[in-house]
Amino acid sequence: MKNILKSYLLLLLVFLATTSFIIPTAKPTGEVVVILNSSNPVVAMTASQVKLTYLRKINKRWKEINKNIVPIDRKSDNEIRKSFLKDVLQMSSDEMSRYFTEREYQNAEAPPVKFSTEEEIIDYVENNIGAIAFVSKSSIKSGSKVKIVLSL
Amino acid sequence: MRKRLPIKITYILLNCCINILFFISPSFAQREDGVKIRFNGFGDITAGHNWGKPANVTADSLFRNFGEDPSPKGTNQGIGVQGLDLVNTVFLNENLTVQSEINLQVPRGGSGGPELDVERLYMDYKVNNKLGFQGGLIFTPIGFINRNLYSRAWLMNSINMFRIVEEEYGFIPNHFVGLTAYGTFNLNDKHSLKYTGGFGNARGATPDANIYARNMEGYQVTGLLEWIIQGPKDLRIGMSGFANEIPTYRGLTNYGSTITVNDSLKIYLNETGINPYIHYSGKLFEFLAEYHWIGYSGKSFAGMPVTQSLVAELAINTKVNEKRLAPYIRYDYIQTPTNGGPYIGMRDIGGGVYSKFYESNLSVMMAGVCYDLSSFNRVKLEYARYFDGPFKQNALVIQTSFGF
Repeated sequence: MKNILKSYLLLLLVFLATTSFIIPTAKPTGEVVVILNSSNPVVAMTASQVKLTYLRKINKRWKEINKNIVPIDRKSDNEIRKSFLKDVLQMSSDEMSRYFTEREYQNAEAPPVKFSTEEEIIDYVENNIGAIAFVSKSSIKSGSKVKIVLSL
Repeated sequence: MRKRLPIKITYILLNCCINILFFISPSFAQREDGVKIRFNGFGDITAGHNWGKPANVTADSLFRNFGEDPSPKGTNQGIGVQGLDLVNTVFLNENLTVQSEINLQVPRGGSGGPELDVERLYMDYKVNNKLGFQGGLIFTPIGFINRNLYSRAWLMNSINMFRIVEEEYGFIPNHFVGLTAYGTFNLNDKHSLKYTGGFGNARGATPDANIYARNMEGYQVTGLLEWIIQGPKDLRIGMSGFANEIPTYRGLTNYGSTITVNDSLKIYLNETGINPYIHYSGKLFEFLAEYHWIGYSGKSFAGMPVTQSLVAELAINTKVNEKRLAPYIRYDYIQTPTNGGPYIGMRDIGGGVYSKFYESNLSVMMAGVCYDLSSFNRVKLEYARYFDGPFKQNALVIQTSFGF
């Protein structure tokens, strides 16, 4: 009985070890970019500036246009979102969620507006001058009324 | 004194609120006219055990004779709820927001049933980054703790309530009804200066009457200046202060003394406070230190009785299973004036009679650990060693807190 159990454990270990090499880790399907409405006068941002702006750490509004900063988020997690959170916000999904809830209690600040698809995000940014969002570069069609201010 | 709801009704309410908190997810409704309405909530359940001799035998004796409650406030003996809050935020347009908060709370000293009241109700109007206004019932904009961590177990690393901002002690004016102007000036990419100036109603005739700031007599002015350094880390160094003209009564000199109030005993007490603080939040650790100095002056007594307080907390940020695990240490110190001075410990015991209850000094060191199970749930374990006050020397407390 002991031997059977050992064999099963060994098989399980071999299976886990093998599959971890075989199953590829999902990567973002394209370059991740940070976008603004094309009427926003800001032309380029560093990752640090995007972080401070997206989290509204210092200013609640774009000082150039005096409009509320409206961060945009995805409803569900994906590789693009993971990349943005890791490389720009330097937060986990839980930390980001907690951060915005805290801000809501303390400063009556609205949490990010969430969408399911990149098309919805781009459509929202096109129609809202204060929006700041992250999408894959390939999802932006030519003639779109958004501008890229940072490529990751 | 506030009227307390019958226990049966309050427990039904408590039950309803817990059900709402657990079974309704946070909602963000948007109406056709663009108005967005958001519902949130937060609360905690705390269980603790205290043991050992009293930290200070004299303080224990004074508390037994002149204490207000069966046990000192915030003792965390047995199972309790420190607070359960429902928050409603209405984003009316680009500039205007209305926020309200209803609080259901068990009295911290353990007597009576839970109480239901309005914690905050205010309008926020933003002109631009440099100027905004808040008007209504708000947290008095002083210090860091009163504005950000007041009664919010879910946002705190540690468990023990910060006694200096505890409304049932009333050491500082934690709420007021008034108007504040605030804004932020960017000095450069990383440095900015935030200010808040406020004008509102004064504290009540007794310190606990300040709860939810219902008194409309007298006035209070406040000021706050905060230097913010941003980057991967967040450092805030601030200085705030307040001045109160409190309509109250003279004649309560010793613990246990009583007076029947009348116009001849009425005085206006001047209360002044300064509150420097520093808060650092980085990848490796978080640090908070806040000091309070509160002095009283008036014609009916000599000298300037003073209350002093210090809070210092250090939490180390680590991760287990990608979740934040933060061991921490904290030290709290409060020194009250002799016999509570002209104001601390005063209570309206009904029928126009006021009495002076004992409010002790405090010196306590805490060590514990907090762990974020998820983005809406934080659990904590804390050991406290009391060096002063009527508290038993040792306390062990666990807490589960939530917010969404």
